[in-house]
Amino acid sequence: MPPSSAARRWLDPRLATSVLVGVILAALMLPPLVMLVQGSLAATNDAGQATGWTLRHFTDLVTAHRAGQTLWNSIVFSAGSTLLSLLVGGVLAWLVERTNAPLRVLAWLATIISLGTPYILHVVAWLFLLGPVGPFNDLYRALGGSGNLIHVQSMAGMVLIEGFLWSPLVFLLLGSTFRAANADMEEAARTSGASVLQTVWRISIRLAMPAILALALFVFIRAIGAFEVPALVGIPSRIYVLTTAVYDSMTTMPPDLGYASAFAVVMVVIVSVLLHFYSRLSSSAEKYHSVTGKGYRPRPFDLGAWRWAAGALIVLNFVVVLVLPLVALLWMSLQAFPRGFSLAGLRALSLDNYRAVVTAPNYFDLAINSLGVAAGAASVIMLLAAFAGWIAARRGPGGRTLDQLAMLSLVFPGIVLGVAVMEVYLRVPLPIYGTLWIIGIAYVIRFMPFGMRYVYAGVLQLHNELEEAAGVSGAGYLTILRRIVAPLLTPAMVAGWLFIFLIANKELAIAVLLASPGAQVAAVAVFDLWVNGQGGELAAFGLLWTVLMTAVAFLFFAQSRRGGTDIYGN
Amino acid sequence: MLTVTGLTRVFANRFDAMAGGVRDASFALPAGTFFTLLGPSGCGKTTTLRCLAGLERPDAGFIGLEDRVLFDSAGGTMVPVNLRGIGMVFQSYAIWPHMTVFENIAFPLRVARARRGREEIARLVDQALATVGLAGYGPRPATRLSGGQQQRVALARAIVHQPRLLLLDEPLSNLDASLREEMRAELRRLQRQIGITTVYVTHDQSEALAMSDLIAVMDRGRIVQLDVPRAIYFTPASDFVARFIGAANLLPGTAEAGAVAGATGMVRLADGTRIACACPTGMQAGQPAMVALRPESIAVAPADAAPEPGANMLPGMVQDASFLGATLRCDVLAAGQTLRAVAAPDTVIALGTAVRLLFRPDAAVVVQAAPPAG
Repeated sequence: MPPSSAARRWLDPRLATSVLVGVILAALMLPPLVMLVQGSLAATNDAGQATGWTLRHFTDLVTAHRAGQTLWNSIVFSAGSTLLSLLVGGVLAWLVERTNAPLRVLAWLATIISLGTPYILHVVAWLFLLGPVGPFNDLYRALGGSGNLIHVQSMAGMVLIEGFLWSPLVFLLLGSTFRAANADMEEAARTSGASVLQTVWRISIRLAMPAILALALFVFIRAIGAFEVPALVGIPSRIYVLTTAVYDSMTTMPPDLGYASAFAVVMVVIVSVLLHFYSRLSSSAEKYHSVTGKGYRPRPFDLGAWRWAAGALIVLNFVVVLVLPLVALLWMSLQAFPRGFSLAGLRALSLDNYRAVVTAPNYFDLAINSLGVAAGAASVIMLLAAFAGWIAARRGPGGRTLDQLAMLSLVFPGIVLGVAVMEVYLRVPLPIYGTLWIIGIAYVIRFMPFGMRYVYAGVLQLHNELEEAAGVSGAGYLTILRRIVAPLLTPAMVAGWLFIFLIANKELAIAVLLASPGAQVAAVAVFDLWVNGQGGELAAFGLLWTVLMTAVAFLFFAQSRRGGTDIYGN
Repeated sequence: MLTVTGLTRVFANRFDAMAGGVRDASFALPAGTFFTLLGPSGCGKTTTLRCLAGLERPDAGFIGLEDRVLFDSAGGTMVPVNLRGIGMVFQSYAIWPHMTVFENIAFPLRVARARRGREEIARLVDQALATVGLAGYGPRPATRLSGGQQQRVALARAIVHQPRLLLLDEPLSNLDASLREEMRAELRRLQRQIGITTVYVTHDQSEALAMSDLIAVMDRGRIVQLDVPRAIYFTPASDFVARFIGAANLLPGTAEAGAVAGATGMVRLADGTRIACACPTGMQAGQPAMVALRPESIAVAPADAAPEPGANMLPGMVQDASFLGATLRCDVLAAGQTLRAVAAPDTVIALGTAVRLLFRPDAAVVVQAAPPAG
């Protein structure tokens, strides 16, 4: 090949774009994984300098007497909460999407608001509700019992709280499965002589089964990586799971980086294996998509007299998932010191906590920090994902590689990514350790797959001929991207941005190891308040924060609905 | 015997009053009739079918099948869909992908109140498979079927439990053209063989004409003509039917003299030409009259040709001629508008040639103008 044509080849905008995006993605995604593996194998002296390679960290894992118990706890905790969330969220999704049960809007309200609430606030609220001074144990004692009926700081308590934490997401994702289901399939069963129950049991559930299994595995993976509930509920009663074990070894003095890395590598391996099965399951779920008929109006089942029982179930879920936690937080925020629901407490209501939150300058800075980092990360992600997602969806040069790079961070549970990013930027000569930048970078790495999903699905919805027509009209590669693809992708991009913004502000696990006194974000601050026992201020700040985030969540749902984009939780 | 009286199901959307549905539909079908609901999309044909199935609850009316009342708004009767004893084929076929072909077809037997033994179910399913020409396909997964095969499985499933009414919702619209022709004949043969009363929904007029014993043409929720295919084709009741059934020429004019129903009357066209027309419903002198004239009934003759006695003659000029293989389609400027005519394919006509259009009075039918939309 003559040199001139080789030069032209490198100037080809298609290839150049792919290479540029690929290099950026690789620089973000690969170092954490490499460092994690390296850290788990590195032998260090007492001063923390690397002295060679060792398998000691892994052998320590195996010999540590708690390691097996920790793994088992993780499995029980994840499986239990997965089952609970599937049951609650699944029943709710079916009632809302496929029946004429009343009050269905309550289910949506609960979901939207819970998407805006940091997980940790839910956990705090439930710890109060189910705790020794909470209304349930109070009621038990008032009825003549002694001591506590409910011991929330137990595996059962963890499963219960985590299960309710995930049920809104299950509702959302299974809801879209039920909504997309071809109603002809059910009506065909009805006209064949099947009753409603027979139809649900023999057709609806069977058709949704691949999607349900895939979702179960997905929730299980997320529960393995969950941090809030194990940290707040499990640690005080010394019930450790993998994530809290990693956190524990990072926060003891001195931090045992090697041990934590080894634990983290084990988690990455487990999650990778599960993800592999997940992708196979979800592609088999695709297989059940069939020829769909003409778009007809929604055709829900008529539940007859059972409508009101179904409505009662929806109200119950609304109360449990939304009203109880919010009332608990409100009560906590209006009390000067922690106490249960009581008349005495009612007389001692005060706004002191709110006054403290509003007047103290650090809360305002905190809010600005959190919003800024989340917004910045979401913007960077959507920009990168716009290129990478388009190239991947259109099978451009290196599309598969870009896709795999962008999706790589799915294998990191939040806490593990925290450890890995910390290791990377402790060694890289960039002065960002201990600043908000490192949290921002961790967000970008962590949530890149979400941005990718939104763009990828958005591009697939656009007919290829729209771009080909632009090409035939004489537009170049980048012009097509700028003038055709970008405007048409805007709804999907905005929905993706809002979604990332929301979850970045919701999750505690990534930032908890990276934040420092000078660089805090909201979820970590709430965690610190909890650890310091400042429940009142925590609740006051948390509620104000939730109001703000709920507004964003409403915006997100409005955008998704208008843009016709699906909601992706993974 | 299927009896439907005053069937009404109106959908109101949020902004204006009516958004589809059916109003006051009535018909009675003798057992074994192949009945077609024909009309453009949104005319209410599918709603009618879904009301018959019990998938939609009518606002008012009566539906009776043989000696059973399926729906009666006066008596408050509404038999649920699964107890109506019907078979239905959906536009999307709705073949359950998680079952084999056998299980798909066996489903109506398995969920029936009357328990059947394993052998009887196998026998009935095999019989249904043989009827639709898919003998031996039972063990196949339902996902491994072509469109035509899915169609046949859906049909087998609809007839396996020997229903008394078969409902077909545009079952051929997802097939490609050649397969559609084949399935059309097959479906009709099958229906005759089983002798089941069938209600068929389509927007394809040639399908309706070819298959039906009886056709109801629907427009904006109402049945505008209910008759046998020939009558629908040759004596359309309105300009809507004439236009929908085939690309008929419509000539507006005025009745010159009154005519009783079935007689021949004279109509003065807009440009003053007088033509003799068939008046199936009669007309009164001075009233506006719309004349429907089929392209294939018009002979395109040289400018000096003499009309047969009693035939109509319109002088015109050829505007356009398209050779379509089997025919030559001519657009001729005559009587102040463009009329379409069909000539023999070997005719050679230059554009701009003066011609005479000849047609018999019984080919020009006075139709009622449809009421304006509303």
